[in-house]
Amino acid sequence: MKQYNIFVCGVGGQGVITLAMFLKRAGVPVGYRVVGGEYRGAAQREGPVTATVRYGIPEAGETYADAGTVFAGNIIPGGAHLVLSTEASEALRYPGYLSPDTTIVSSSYIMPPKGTTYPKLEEIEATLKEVTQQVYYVDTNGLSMSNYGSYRMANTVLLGAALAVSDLPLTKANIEAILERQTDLEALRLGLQAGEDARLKVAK
Amino acid sequence: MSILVSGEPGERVLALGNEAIARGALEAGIGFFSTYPGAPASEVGDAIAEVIDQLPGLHFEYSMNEKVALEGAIGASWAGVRAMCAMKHMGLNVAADVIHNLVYQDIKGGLVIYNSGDPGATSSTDEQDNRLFSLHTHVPVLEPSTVQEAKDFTVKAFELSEKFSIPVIINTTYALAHLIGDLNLGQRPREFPATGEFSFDPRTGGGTVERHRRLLDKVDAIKEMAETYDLNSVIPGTTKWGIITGGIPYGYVVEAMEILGLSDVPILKLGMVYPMPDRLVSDFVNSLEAVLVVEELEDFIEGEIKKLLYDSETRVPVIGKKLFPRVGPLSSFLVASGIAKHLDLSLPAHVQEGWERSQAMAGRAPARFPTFCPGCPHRAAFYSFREVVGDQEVACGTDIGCYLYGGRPPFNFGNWGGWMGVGIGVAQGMSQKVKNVPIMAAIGDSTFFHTGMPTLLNAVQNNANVLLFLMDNKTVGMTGNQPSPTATATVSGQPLKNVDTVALIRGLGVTFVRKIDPYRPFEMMEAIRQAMEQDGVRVIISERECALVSGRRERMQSRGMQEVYAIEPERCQKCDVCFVKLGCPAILSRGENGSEVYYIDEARCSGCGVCKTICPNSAVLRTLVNPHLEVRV
Repeated sequence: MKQYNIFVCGVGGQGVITLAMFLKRAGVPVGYRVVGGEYRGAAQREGPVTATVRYGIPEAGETYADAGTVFAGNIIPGGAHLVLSTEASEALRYPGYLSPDTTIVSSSYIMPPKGTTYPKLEEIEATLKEVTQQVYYVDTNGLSMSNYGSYRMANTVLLGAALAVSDLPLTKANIEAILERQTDLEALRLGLQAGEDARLKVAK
Repeated sequence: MSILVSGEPGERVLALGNEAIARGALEAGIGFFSTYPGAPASEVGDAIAEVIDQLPGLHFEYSMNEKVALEGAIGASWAGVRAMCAMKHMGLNVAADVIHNLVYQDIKGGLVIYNSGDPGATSSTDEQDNRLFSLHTHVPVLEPSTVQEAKDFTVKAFELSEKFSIPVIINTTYALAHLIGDLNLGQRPREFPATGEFSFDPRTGGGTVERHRRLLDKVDAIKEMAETYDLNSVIPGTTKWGIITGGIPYGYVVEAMEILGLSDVPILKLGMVYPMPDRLVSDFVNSLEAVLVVEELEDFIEGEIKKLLYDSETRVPVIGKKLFPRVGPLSSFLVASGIAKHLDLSLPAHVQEGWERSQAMAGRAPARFPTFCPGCPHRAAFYSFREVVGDQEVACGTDIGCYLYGGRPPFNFGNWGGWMGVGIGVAQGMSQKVKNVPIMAAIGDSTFFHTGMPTLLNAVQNNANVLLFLMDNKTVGMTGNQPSPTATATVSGQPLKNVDTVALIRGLGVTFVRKIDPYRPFEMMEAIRQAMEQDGVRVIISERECALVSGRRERMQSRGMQEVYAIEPERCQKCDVCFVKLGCPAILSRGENGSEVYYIDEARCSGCGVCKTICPNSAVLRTLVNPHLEVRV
């Protein structure tokens, strides 16, 4: 039984929990045992919000029941395969989940808290790269705003980017199967392209 | 589609722990459900409220507080109808008087209290361990470990309650309440008991002491049943040491075993943590050379075991809090660390590195505290407060609700807080002794009806000297916008009967009462100034609906252009009135090194217009955007 752990983070109101729920639902028709937590409470107004998505993936010869030890919502230190961040600096808040094998796909959207110095994007990227080389930034909010007039599609763009650059064990078809809106399908494709662009930039 | 009303028996779905509890209650055929919102229990009530139209016969209510929520459930139980009441861990404190007395009486229809705690206190002001309540109340406590057990234990809880004529508590923490996992659905009735019958006297059984004795006899009978109760199980193993655990920590134990590469460790999993099955526990302990007790927060299980074993000849080491912390939440990592310490093992390298990294790289992200949403009426009200008060020293109590964010800069309203009603409660008493600074307090509409009303009356009756801000945003905001008695309409626009707060407060004897829309800051400031010139009990009602609720209603009802605001850079003097003193998160700055420009992020602007009103340079303009370009398939 293989595990795949996704850590989703961002700021309250950005749809972190919705994004994580989407990933949870996407794993079910593929036959994964899905477990995950949501760190809600105090409705987290403008504060950090996190959620986890954990897949127990039965391997050859195993049944669904064999994936039984993916039990609790928490991810152990060093245990995140993929980190998705809907805000440019939030992945920095959780360095314990990272390992050199983690892929980080982050929106470059900045939500600067009042009264704090917000680090430069280059600094954030450099800090994350102290741990892993697979760090990708995508302008999800800009793409969503310029194509759809709001930030609503930003997380779908982020999902597409993650599909392009990470080892997320879902195919484009797996995700399309549970998308409901035409605009989501388009936004997913935008994200795939943006992810590819980001990967090429990193490869240079 | 809600799993409460969809799906076939035997179908496997993904469900939230709290939804599973609600589903369990429905499968058990409850006729009454009451709750007071509070993380991490809120979703149980919300899930039922969402589909109440599809649950004929079921009475659902968001009660004013946990005490009356439980009393209502008792009324249903005594009418022979199964009833559930849900609350967060601190809510049990509010219902405590009721529970302590209830157990000296009988129940009829099964009565189950769902209680969810918050180790780590991310949404609470304490992390009390409610299992310890049962040392006082003797109420049996069931602790599910998975989403499936959350549902199944709920159904069992009603059976247990009826069999022994005692209320039963289902205890979880956020780690299960907000966990999503597999749920196999059971059979769900299509109708729920609409009526019952009051035909028994709950006070049978003699005097108080006699009924206390009867209660203890009930506990003894349950203890006997616990020996073979299918909620308690021993997972056999071959090692000489074993683990006793229950609840969500069981999941951490299973993962910890995997992390450390251990197998065949015997585990006693207690699904009913109070009362404990004495023989099952002592037989388990005596079969081993050492036992680790893995539980979160207090040494409840550990203490009960040691109490049990002290008089016997057992000297098997029982180790709990020596290895696992007494504060904060547990995790697979902490459980693995504790077990590793006991067995003198190392954690896998990547785990150890991850842990060290979390310590070494802590604090690199910008400090980010929750604050008022764009458009929040509380922000506008506290802006007005700070404008009037300036640097003057005031002593202010805040309370439990979104407005407590007023305690942070730039408003700094809130020298104390911590429990429901604390703001005005302490303020009015303090004003009897502190005469040299103005004493103020803030309270929300929901908190006011929860606990604040008698406190305000106390202030009037005892001639306290305090200015109370009633922050009426017509919702129970912090917990997810449940309805409040001051709401005038639902999100879909249906009118609601609501309380006339001015008449109510005047009726209590307060003579200075002003109701002001906080989106009109100059009126608010004038009211505060007038209030501060007077003595006695003064109330300013800051009345304006929560921006999230009105935003949702606007989006539901209109698909047209949305009003937002923009800053005209040529007029803006960067005086910081809107950027710092109001501090709206939608007002940002871009550019650098002296050429920063303030602007409003139109995607986040709620259109409240307060920044336009307070701008001394007329630099804020109203503009229109169309945010509805996405198309549904």
